[in-house]
Amino acid sequence: MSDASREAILNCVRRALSAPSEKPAWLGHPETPGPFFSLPEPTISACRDRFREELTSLFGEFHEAKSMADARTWLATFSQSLPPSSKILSAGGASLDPLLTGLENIVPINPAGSSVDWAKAAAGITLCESLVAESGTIAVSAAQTGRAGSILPPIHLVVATADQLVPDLDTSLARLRERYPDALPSTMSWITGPSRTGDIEKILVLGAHGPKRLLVLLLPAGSLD
Amino acid sequence: MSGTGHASLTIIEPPAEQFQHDAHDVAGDLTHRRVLRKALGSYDAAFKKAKGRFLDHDDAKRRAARIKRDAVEHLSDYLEEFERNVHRNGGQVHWAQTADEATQIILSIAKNAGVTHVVKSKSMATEEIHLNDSFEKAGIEPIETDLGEYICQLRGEPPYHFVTPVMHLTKRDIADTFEEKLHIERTEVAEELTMIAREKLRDAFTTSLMGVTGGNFLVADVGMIAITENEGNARLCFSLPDIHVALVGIEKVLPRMADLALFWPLLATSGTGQHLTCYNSLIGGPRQGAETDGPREFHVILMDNGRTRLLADPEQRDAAQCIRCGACLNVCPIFKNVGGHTYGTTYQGPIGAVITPHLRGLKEWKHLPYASSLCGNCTEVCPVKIDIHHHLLHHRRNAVAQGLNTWTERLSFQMWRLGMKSVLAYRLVGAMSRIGQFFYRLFWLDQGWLPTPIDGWTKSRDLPEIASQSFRDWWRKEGSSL
Ligand code: SF4
Repeated sequence: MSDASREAILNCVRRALSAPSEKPAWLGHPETPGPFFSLPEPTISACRDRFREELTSLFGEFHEAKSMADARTWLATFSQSLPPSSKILSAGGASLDPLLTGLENIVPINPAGSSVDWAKAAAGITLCESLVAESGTIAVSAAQTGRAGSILPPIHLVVATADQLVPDLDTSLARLRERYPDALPSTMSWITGPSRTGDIEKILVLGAHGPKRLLVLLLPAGSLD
Repeated sequence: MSGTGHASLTIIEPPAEQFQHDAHDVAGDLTHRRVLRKALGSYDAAFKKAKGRFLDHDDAKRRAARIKRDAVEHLSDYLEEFERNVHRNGGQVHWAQTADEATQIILSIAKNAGVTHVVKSKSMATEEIHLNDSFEKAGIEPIETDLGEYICQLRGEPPYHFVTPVMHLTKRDIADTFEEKLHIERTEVAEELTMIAREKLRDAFTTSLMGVTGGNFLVADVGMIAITENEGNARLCFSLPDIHVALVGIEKVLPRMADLALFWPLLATSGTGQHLTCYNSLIGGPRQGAETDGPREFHVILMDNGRTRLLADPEQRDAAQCIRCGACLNVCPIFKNVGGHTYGTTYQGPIGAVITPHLRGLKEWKHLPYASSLCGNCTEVCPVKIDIHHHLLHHRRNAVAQGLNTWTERLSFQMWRLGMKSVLAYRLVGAMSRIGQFFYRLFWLDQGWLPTPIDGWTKSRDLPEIASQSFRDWWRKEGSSL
């Protein structure tokens, strides 16, 4: 059934489009090439400042670690702030090991083999592909960090390095294509703030279905290499 | 159940009469007006702010319109490119000419997998084909997970607005619904209501074998669908279940992944007044080799269901550029007066009035293009520069050319034509109406005692007083001295 429908639809489209449409007046208007928004300078510090400003204005949280030791201390504090005996999912694979050693409540995300009820985990730790300074957005991909780890637990903690900061969305999209020239990850998400809804009388509520809290831990460039 | 802005419970055929009936009810409902004014007021403020972040919003709109125009004008090429790339990613593409065919495809995927319940994220394409009804008939439970859609499903109501489905409800209405349907302790706090829905739906996500979503864009050069949302329920729908099915209209093509750097902020700005929506995702297939989780099957259904009829009208083809941001509804004076349910369509407001006659027939739906003040707010706000209000006129012209208008309308325009073509007739009408006006008031005919169909005009309007002297007479006396 599908093949015949495929042909029928494509033929219908072709036939429909064979009648030319008139050119609207705006089509002749010259375009201004270049960015759509005012962008930070493409330096790490300018991008970091802008990223922090945007993320926190959307109720995200930001911590910059000066060293791996600093990051580990911060993580230990974070972990202690969770209710006792709660689990933290790690969806970052081996590259997060140097950071997470010593934390007892970490469980690797692996739904098939694990006996942990990972749907009940208190937090998920993931890596990211890039941080978009202009909008305070975090790009994650399934190739690197799976799908559920960044959306199922009520807290999402992103571990990023300073070299992942990019000025705008355009660059973030381009980076992914450069990084995966043959096959893109099966999904990618651009996350801008914690999950939210305004469905009820336009009142902002955080944590509709996704994480209520979104934290970014920024490490010095190259820390996870 | 309380609530405002309902489509009436009385089912009236044909749709034009239902529209008249519901429009009359809703326009006089003061609570409804207050709720809507509040919602649209906060949208307005947010929209202006988000728009201000663009260096040149008009230029961005032109660039977007150009991209979508190219996509539509070369639609068959882009669809084939999209399909090739989905296959390369390991996904499956199905083509559906009609709502029925789309339904059959989805049901057979579900049945083959032995699915008992499906989680759904917000999708107007599935609303369009009434997929939930079909699931239920097949013994499969559909669970809407977007908060607004969940509320609609509990109430057994269609979405009020295709971006903000429960825009017409108050906290109290929703509290009533939750109390009645979920048997929970009553609360009217928005946050608590949201958390109740979150808790109720958690299990559905983790136990369902199949997630059904729509798609905001079909990105041709990478063979991926793009989904925009705030809550995260769509991401759960395509992350946890074993099978992900996406139903998308064929017109949703974007040529390149890079185009999203413009379309995501543009959609967020026009849709909800955000700079970027919380989650913008690209999905291109089932989980890849080394990935730790994700569905094992990915199906995209490309649906026509009347869209090629719109494409075949070169004059109105640009309406296929629509990205369903909903901005044209939010600025429409008719929408503000009659509300979303009155349209009786999946797509409400000005764009609904343009595309519904193509999707479902001009004969039955021509009243929608007439329900417009032609103010042009919709065209001005449209991020992809669709000439919406002119298309409403095009529909009216086509309806007349096809002889679809009523005899009363034809008669009155013939009389109007006669009056305008002859000086004598024109003067006669003027003189008669001055006399007629006297009797009109004398016999209280202005209190609504005129026969149908004339009372349709006088019931809610005062007849302006006709000047005692015509301009012609005035000019003859005074004009020469100016
Ligand atoms: S017609 Fe334009 S304004 Fe209306 S929903 Fe579509 S894209 Fe938005």
